[in-house]
Amino acid sequence: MTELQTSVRQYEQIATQRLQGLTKQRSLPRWFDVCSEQLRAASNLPSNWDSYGGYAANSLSLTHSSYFLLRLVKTVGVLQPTIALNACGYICFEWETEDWLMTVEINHRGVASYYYEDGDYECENKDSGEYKTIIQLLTRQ
Amino acid sequence: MAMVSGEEYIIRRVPPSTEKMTYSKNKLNSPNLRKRATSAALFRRPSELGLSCSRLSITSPSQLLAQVNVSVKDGWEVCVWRTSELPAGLSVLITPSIPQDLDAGHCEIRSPEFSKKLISKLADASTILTADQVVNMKAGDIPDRD
Repeated sequence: MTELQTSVRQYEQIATQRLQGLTKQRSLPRWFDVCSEQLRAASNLPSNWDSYGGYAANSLSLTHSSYFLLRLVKTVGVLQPTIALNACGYICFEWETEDWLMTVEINHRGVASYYYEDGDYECENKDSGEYKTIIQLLTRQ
Repeated sequence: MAMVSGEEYIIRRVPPSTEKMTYSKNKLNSPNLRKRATSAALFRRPSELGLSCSRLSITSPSQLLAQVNVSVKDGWEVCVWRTSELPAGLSVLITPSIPQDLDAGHCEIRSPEFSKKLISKLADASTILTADQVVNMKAGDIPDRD
């Protein structure tokens, strides 16, 4: 085998391994079904669901929230959120552990307003697009 | 409008937990679980000036639920705060209910800005009453939150 043939074969092996890594299906976390059901339940709530005049779920907030949920399940290390509707008709994701808590509200434009608290560290801001800042906060442990 | 005294307790309806409106967490230095409202249950609509609540000195938890024809049997719950323990930046004003004769104890938690931080801290400061407390507490009773 010539030196060139060896190099080509090695390159093919590396390329194959990388492709397998990219296409390998990572199993979804067990909580994905639970969260999907919470999202579905929120979408079915009628107006005044909270008895204080709360709005029914905004369809665009639901769409963006589904995408946000997919971003969460595709990220290793993200814990299960609690998903609920708020009085504005927007979907809220919440986490609480012994060390930190986070609340995220996703509006009809897909903008996520969030509050994160970990001991003395607090931050309140907005995120959108790929929700990278929120994902970073959720995986900073 | 008059402010509610810091010594008073205020209560608010919380929809059934199947809608993920409550959390259970361990109390600090205690094995007992403390159940609280989630932030999602404590947002106000954009048109609202404040978050509707009721003064426990005037309205009992069971009366609060009966106002809208629901009960603990339907899964509804009631959360409570001592006014003086609300997060800084929030105040409680005595306001009329709509309709006016619905709730003589109506009040509102007000703030110039209902930020996510404030809502989150308000949720964390809340305590969900037990079903027994909701059924048996009278207006004016002091809730046992241990």
